[in-house]
Amino acid sequence: MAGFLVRAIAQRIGLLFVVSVIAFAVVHLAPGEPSQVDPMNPRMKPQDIARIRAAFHLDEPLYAQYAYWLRDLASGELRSFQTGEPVLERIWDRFQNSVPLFLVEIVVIWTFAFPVGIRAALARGSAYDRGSTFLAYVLISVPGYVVAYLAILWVVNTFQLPVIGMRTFGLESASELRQVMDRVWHLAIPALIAALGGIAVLSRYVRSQMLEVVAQDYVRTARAKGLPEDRVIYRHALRNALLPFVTLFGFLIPGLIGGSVIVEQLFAWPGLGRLGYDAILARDFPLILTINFFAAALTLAGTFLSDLLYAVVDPRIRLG
Amino acid sequence: MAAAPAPELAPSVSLKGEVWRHLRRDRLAVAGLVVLALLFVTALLGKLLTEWVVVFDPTLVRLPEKLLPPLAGARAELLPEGQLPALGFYLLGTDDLGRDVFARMLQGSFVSLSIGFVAVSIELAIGLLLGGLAGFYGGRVDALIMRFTDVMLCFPTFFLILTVVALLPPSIWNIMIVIGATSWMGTCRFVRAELMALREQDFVRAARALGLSDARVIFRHMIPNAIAPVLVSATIAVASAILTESALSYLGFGVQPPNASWGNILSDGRTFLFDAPWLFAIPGGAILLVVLAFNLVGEGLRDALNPRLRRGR
Repeated sequence: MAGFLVRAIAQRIGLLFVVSVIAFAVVHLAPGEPSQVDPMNPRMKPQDIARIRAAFHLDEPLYAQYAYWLRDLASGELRSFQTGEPVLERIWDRFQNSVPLFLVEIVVIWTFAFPVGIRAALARGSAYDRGSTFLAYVLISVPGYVVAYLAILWVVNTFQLPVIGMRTFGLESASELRQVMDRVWHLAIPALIAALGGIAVLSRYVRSQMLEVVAQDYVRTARAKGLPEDRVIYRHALRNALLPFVTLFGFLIPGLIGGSVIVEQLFAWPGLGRLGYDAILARDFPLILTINFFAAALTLAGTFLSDLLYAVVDPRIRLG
Repeated sequence: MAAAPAPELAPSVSLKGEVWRHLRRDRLAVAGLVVLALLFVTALLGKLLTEWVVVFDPTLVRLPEKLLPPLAGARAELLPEGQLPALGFYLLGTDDLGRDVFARMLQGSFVSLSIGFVAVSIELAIGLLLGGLAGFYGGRVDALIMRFTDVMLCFPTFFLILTVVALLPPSIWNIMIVIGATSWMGTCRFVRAELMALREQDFVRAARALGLSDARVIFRHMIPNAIAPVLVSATIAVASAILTESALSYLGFGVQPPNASWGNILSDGRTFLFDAPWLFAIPGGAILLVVLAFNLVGEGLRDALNPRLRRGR
């Protein structure tokens, strides 16, 4: 077990290094530089550009730039090209905003997807199955922001609820309860809307997984020995159907950054996805690279976690 | 042999015939196939009528005619000579610059479809090549390729696509290449696993014993035996490439004007959601319909290929 842990972690650190080198190469070899973001600005003189390039080591060879980046990242000294603020601090701030949105979204997805998928699988071919299947396909097939736009219009017009940003501006003097509720609404609506697509995808997956398991011999055996149907479904079938979802945990985590760009853009939510988007627009290399690094580290942590969980829930697997 | 097959034996059916028999019973998948057939015709017509023989000009700006609803007649007295739309009216209305939305949708159908297909072809090429090599040779080649696959799986895909597309000069080709180059990992892993299982089969031994080159054994003998499920997921991958392009368009990094894609028509249209809802509904509906069709056909094929999920036996 200890050997497994050491090897798994060492291997992941190696992967992380390669990921960061590739990301660095992609970002630096692509044309376009931070000093060219505003070429029409008459106040940008050639000597200013030279000064900027020198300050950010842009004139040195790539491997030296990479070494600078790694050194600064490790010492926490890495600063954004655009604002000069420490990169880690900005990422940490935005991370704290992204996490609640992400968690609520995940909880909503998993709470709704499982009952929907299980029921569809058990009542295969029924009106419920066909209806939910078709609805799921529609939600999967429409660009996410179209659904979000329509949902925002509906929510705002019907319930008069605020949806943009993390809180309503100018509520600072309102009562404590009012402020908390304002925060809750601002969190709940984007999370619900963002979860729609996820529910569609996951419920399809739950359905097909359940269908496979229900056809297995051990389910027939359980029925044959006269167990009540609920016990057959929830103890014998569902528990086995759940296994692959453990691996899904690992792949959920990168969604925290990649999947959140559009949602956060839609709702003006000051999270990591938007930070990354703004960094890309500004060609803020240190910020782009560090967000990417952070995302890769989260992914690796996620797969590590799901490997461990797999060993816990599936007694056939021995880590070693 | 004219004799009828013995009654107790099932008639022999090829895999294709078997799959088609199952697919035909899936009404949604058949509907999807019909939509896709129409789409191919539309896309070819779109290329023909908007670029080769310009009947519908998607770039012509008619400012006096802006934001007209679908089926609105063109007002000839407001337009300079020769700018009258080919039909005399605007089938799908006009946008904020007075461009004919029908012409733009026609042009966009070819652009959106080719993004889907080229991106997926790139994905398949990389996935089959790397998966084929890893599965056939095993050992160090396999270890190296699988480590590289692991590395690619660590990237936050959409963020990586966004970064590359934003840093490179805007072009349709870059979008296709980037989408393809960041989505081959699933194919690669699948092909590798299949080939590892096939490697010990007799027909592969026979092919090798005949002295065929490795490339021929891999790509002519082994991969055709593993390709069906890969093509099924490719169908669905086309759908997701079209969606990715529309997401990129939303963020301003999709196909750039004056080229039209369904994604950027939709993205431009969202500003006029209240004044000209058709600018949002038409491309949105078209994307929904086409992506839905790809997904339904893909899922239908997957069910038809999966003997465990078949019904009615």
